[in-house]
Amino acid sequence: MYLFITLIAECAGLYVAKQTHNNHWVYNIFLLLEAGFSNLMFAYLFNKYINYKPIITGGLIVFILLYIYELLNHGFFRYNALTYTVMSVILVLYSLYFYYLLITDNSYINLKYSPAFWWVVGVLFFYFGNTACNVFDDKLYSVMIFKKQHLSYFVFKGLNIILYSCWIYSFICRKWQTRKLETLL
Amino acid sequence: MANEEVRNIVIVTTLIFLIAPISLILYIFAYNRRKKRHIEEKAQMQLTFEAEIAKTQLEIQEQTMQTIGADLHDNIGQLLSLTSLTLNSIEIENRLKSQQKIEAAIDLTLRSIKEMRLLGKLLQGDQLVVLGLPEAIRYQMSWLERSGQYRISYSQEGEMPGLNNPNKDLILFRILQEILNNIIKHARASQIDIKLAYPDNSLQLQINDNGVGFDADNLAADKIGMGLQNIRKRATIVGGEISIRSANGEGTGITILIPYP
Repeated sequence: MYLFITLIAECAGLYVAKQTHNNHWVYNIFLLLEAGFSNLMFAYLFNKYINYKPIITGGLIVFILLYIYELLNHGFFRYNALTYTVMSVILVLYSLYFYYLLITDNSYINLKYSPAFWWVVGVLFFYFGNTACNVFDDKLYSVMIFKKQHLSYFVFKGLNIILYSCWIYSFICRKWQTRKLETLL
Repeated sequence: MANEEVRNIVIVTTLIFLIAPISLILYIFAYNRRKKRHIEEKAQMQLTFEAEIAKTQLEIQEQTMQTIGADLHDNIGQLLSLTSLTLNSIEIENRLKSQQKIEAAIDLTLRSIKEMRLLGKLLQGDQLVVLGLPEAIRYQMSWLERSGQYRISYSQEGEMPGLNNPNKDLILFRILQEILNNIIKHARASQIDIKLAYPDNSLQLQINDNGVGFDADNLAADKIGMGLQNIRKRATIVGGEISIRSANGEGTGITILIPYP
């Protein structure tokens, strides 16, 4: 469902950019969905090990406050870049914390076929890379690879490929797990 | 030129930002593999421990049965044979002698009953461990004492922990049986001292005898014998240490210290 919403947001972004040359408001709306989905997933993943409420609520409060601050600061039609950067850092921290919980847990799981593990791998690579890109945004934007395409375009493409490849594999693992459970029952 | 520099910086940064998570993921995989190995080893150790407990239980039962068999044959059997002989030799005409023989037969029967009672208690020996190690040691001692060959002293130091560990009790009881067997078979001792103590979070069992002893420092590996080897192996299984002090003609002292409970 989230991937479907992502696809719609990307199509809407392209369409609006062609029509009005400003699609930032589309991505501002999508940012809310992105943060909601990621936090929901981490809440689900943390739930196996700890009480997730304080951490997830804390992260969401920081996100909402920054989001409102940026909206008040420059309005709805400019992208909330700071909120996005901070959200990326928070998600990277969540990923590292998830790995810490995973390795300190007494039970063993086969990571090669663990949907949770591969989902977090995707998040870690994507948002870690994103943080770097956001920090060096100006420099990246100044480098042109082809006549009309910036370097950042290719970096984001690469990060997206890593993210969605990991997520696809994660969903396949989930499918295998469900099938295994069904045969056991 | 500036464009080139920026490109190089971007490439280096990208590499760093790729290498960092890749290294992290690889580390997690390696750690997870180690965790799997550790869990497997732990499960194997648990299996070995359980097998050892089952074996110990069997050995205790076997030892009890051997003692009972020997006692039935050597002691109770003899007493009953003597009773039968005495009763057979009664001549009803000779009233005074008959009276004496009947009294002797009654005395022999009472001794047989006493022996049977002791034997009954010994038969429960392996179940006695459930009541706690001190109780089991007391029964084992009273059985050994009645042979009249040994002077046995038993002392207990320190407070017994509120919770006991039945598996460790069982292993220790078997070690004690093995040591007492060695004393009976080889030591030619007349005095046995047993001391049970509960120092901080551990249990110490000390058994000393005044027998012929042996050269503990220079005992060849092939001469250690199954008994001593078993004692060492069992003490290790419950995470304990064993020390043996002995010299020719100077008796033997064995101390077992295990974490408890």
